[in-house]
Amino acid sequence: MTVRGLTLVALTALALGCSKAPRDSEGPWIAEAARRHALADERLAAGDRPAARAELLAVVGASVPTDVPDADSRGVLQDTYFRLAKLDLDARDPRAALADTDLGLSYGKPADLFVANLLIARGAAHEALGNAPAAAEAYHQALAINDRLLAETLGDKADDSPGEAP
Amino acid sequence: MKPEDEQPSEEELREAAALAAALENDAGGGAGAPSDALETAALLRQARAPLMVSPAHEPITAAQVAPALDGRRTPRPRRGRMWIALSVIAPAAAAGWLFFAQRPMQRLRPIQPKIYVAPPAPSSDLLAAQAAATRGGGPAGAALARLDQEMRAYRRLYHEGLRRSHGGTR
Repeated sequence: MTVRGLTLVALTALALGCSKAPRDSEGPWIAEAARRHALADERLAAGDRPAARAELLAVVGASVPTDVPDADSRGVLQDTYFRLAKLDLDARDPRAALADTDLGLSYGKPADLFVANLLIARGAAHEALGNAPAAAEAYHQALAINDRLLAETLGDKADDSPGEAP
Repeated sequence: MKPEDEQPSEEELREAAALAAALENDAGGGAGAPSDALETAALLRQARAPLMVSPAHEPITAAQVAPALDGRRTPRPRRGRMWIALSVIAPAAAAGWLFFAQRPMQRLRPIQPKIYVAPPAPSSDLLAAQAAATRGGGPAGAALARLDQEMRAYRRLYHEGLRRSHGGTR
């Protein structure tokens, strides 16, 4: 076989090998997010808010692997943005908190716990900025979701209980 | 072309005739032909005939030209080509190994489909803290702080569930 032929075969093998390289990044991404949140808890317990904020920024700054379901990455990221908004509210920076909630809600607004939390943080930011109507609107939306979650939780508990005989 | 160029002059005709005579009188050396016509004829004959080396000069020519010809016949060293080929083949072999070695592993551990993991149901305490935070206006951030506190335990459960479901505990 000529050098040219060998080169062609080699390049084909190289392309095949690279295209079939395994992607196993989903687990590590979630594990890393969990680790960063735990570190943020530790930093906050030590009173180091900037360090806690840096840990959380690392979570939202990391690129999400393509094999992570959108709903799972949304939950993790929205929860992280809620924490960032809370930190910014504590630092008396409601504009930054509002920006955090905007970013968090840009991932979607299904009626779940994470979205309700973001809406609460949004309401608090608007409240701090003196924008009462916007705050009321955000709180109202959060309350509607909270009612629904409470009904689901109570419904689940009722289903789990033995119940009375008819 | 100018009209005067179309018709050869008398002088040109004379020169052409002299050249023709010189070429025809090969052996005779073209007696009577002008010297420039003889030179031209000699050059034309030389161009048609193969290059000849006189027998007297043959040993000298052979001594000088033969080694050069032998050197041409010997194949050039292919070290450069071999290095280029090796530099391509070695990484390709590694990639090929990756490709074929991974296949049995993929059969043993099939690719996980994208399965959404439902978050754990929030506790009633967490929902109560959330409901309190939706009221706003209370003592600065107290309700929000309580919600944040309740979320920590819930978050741990949520992350743990995701890691279990997606193999993050490996």
